[in-house]
Amino acid sequence: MGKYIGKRILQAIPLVILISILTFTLIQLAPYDAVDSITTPDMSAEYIEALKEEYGLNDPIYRQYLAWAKKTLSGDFGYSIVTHSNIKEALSQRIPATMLIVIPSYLVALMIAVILGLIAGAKQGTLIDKIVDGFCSITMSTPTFWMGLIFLYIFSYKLNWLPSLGMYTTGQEKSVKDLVWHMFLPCVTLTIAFLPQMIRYVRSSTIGQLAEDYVSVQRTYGATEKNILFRHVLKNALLPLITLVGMSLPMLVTGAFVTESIFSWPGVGPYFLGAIRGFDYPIILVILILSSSLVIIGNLLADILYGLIDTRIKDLGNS
Amino acid sequence: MKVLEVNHLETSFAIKKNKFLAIRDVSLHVDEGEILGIVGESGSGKSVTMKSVVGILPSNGQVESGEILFRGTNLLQIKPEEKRALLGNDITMIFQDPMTALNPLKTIGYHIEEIIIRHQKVDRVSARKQAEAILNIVEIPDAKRRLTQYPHEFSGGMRQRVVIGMALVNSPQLLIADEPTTALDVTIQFQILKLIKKLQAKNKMAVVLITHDLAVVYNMCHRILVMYGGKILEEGTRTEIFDNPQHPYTLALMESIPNLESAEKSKLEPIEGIAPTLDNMPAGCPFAPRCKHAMAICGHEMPTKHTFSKTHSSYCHLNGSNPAHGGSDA
Amino acid sequence: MKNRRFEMLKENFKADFYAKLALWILTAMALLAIFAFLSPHDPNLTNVKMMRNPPSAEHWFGTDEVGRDYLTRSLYGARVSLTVGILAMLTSTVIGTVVGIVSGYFGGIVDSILMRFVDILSSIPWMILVTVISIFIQGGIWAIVIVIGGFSWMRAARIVRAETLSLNQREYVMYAKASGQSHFNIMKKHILPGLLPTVVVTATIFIPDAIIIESTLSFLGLGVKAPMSSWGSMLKNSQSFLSDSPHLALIPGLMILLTVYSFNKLGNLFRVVVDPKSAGGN
Repeated sequence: MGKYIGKRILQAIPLVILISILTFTLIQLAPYDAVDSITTPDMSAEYIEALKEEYGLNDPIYRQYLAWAKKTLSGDFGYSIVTHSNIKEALSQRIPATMLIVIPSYLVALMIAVILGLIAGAKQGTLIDKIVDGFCSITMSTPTFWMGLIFLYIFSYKLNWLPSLGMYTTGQEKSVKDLVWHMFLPCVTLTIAFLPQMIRYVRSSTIGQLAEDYVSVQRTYGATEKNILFRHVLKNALLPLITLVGMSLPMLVTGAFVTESIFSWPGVGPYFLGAIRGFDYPIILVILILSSSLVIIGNLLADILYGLIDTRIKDLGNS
Repeated sequence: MKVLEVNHLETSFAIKKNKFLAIRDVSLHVDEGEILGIVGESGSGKSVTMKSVVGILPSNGQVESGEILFRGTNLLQIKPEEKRALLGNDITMIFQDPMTALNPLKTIGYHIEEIIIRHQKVDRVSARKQAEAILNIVEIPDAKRRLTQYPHEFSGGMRQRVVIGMALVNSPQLLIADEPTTALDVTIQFQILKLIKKLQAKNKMAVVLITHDLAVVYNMCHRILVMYGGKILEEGTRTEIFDNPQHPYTLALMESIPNLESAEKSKLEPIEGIAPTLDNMPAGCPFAPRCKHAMAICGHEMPTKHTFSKTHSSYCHLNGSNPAHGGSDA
Repeated sequence: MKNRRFEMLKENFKADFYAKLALWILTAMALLAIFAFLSPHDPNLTNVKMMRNPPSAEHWFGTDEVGRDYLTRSLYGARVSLTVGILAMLTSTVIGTVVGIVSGYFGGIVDSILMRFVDILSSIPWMILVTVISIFIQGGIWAIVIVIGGFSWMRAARIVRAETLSLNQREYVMYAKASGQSHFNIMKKHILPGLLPTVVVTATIFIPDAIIIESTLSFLGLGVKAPMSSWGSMLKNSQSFLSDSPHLALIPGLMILLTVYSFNKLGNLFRVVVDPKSAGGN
């Protein structure tokens, strides 16, 4: 097992390096000059040249890459070329803000999905299964941003129950109640966006387990359906969820892009989209690398966790 | 004393919107202390018959008519909870594949204790003692430690012993064994069969042994039922079936295996053709399309029962007039 | 084999009310989009006296922020959304299939390089990848098609590769190789036909994804730009008037929902026939 983990980690590192090279090169090929973002038409040519020199834009690409990689690895993410603000500082506020809505939504969704998925799977083909399936089909077909807009309209504009935008009401920055109040709509939107895939996963996993031999053995030994579901199927059906959770790691940063921008939540999403619009390439690069690394780490984690539980699980498949 | 009696059982399967009878007019019984063998190729309905008895048909299967009496109680008419009180307790079953019969995330001890507690209403400590005792009975060494282990730590043969332990721990009156050794190595097969026979004799259990293997039947069973295409074609005691087979199918089965008693190698004759499928069942005798002795009438009319002794009967048009007895059609 | 699958598809389709509904919705949507020009209203005619009117007898879906007939706008938006969805699907399917076949057929170093490339692209969260790419490729409908289709073929490539690997082991392919046919011919004549069902399913399932992504990109201002409009860009515009004119947000969203739902439904129907196991019940 230890050997396997080591091997997977060794495979992951070159992947991260390759991605960083690729994205760095890509950004250099952009149809704009990065310097366009920091200059205005009335600047003199000498001044622009000085700016380019200052930002290292005159060096060969590979030198620029190495300089950037070295800085990034040492934890220096550089500065925005549009606002000149420190990227690391900005992210250290924005990532927790994103996590603040992603984590509760994910956990709530996971809980609901386990309950509904189990019920639907255990009662396959019944009315309740069809209702759950219908819910999944519809939420899966609904763009998240539109769902956000509809919630915004109903709960904020029409019913006036919940605040519409941002993280705090001005003047109440310290109030936890106010924060929770603001979290509510983005979280509901996110939860519903996460749900359909998770429910389907749990449902099909449950159906798969119920078809296993050991379940019919339990039936012949007089176990009730409830007994079978909770004492035997539950654990088997939910263990594979560990992989799903592992692979969701990057969501901590990029899981709420669209939702954040609808509700003006000051998370990573609006920051990144702002950078995209302004071609603020240092920010784009950092988020690209950060999120890709999280994808790779998440997959690694999922693999390792599954490997750990696999010794027992794998017994089911091969007979 | 009849432990199990099945009368005129018909079981159907729904495939798409059509229903097909998989079991047609099957009647059988097993007495206390008796081992009944049900022999047939796959698809003959031998397994479906017993699944109907226990009530674990797949979701598209359904018992259409007939009665299933366990010590006089019709299992088809009792409440689900009454049935569950019998299952795992008075009626138990062991399965073909011991590798998949156990929950991979539960210990062996959990599997056995759960059944003890469910039916005997005793506490964990007493259940654990009984579980340990039963592992000793099914000859698993180091029982105490083995109870805390998971199924993947057991070999196939050992797992089948565990399943047998689960089946016997509540001292059942009826044990149904569905191809209990098919998935095991030949040497292990023999050990498991010996174990079943030993425990059967000790407990005076009624056993139904489902198998496609005539050698197993010959070594284990008191009485034998030959099934084909969802019907019983012949039944009789071991001696009657092996010494005096009356149905061409029984004969063909015997010719397709090596000689049982003499060491000399007799000529193997596989049965030609394939078994009929549910949606393609002949109107008359199901074996007619493959039968060497088939007559015109066999194709459209099911033969009636022909009795040779109190225990021996067969369903063949030849039985009335010109018995197929003798084995060879030369 | 193919015929039996087709029969099964027909049977499943007939038995499924929602699948029939889905086909009707898509047919209607496609016809309305094609014949949008028959509308009595000019999609670009602004009218300052009729700004953001709610639905009425004359304007069934009301009017937008500059007084244009919203129904007509929605139908022209349907053109863009459906076109992007289908073209992106074609792009993604073609790239994915080619990469998958080449990778699976040749194996070895070719396979390693291509699959490593697929790994790299799949390691960047998709939304991020597409938004970044969208700043490079701009202008018109083709740009969006390339952004969406050109960077979403990795899954298709993996599926096709796996399938090709198993087809590679079939006797007729081995025979074709032994008899010295050209690689291109073998791939075209012997492997591609075997892949068809899988490719069709993967492609169908991708259309709804592509439509949602197009709408999301356009909503974020990174996709379709004025004067062209799609459902997503209409929703973007509606955002400023949400509290007074909710119909502007409701209508394009419902159209996306109906279209995506229908494509999903039909895609699932295909999948059940081609690969019953993966579809999981129902």
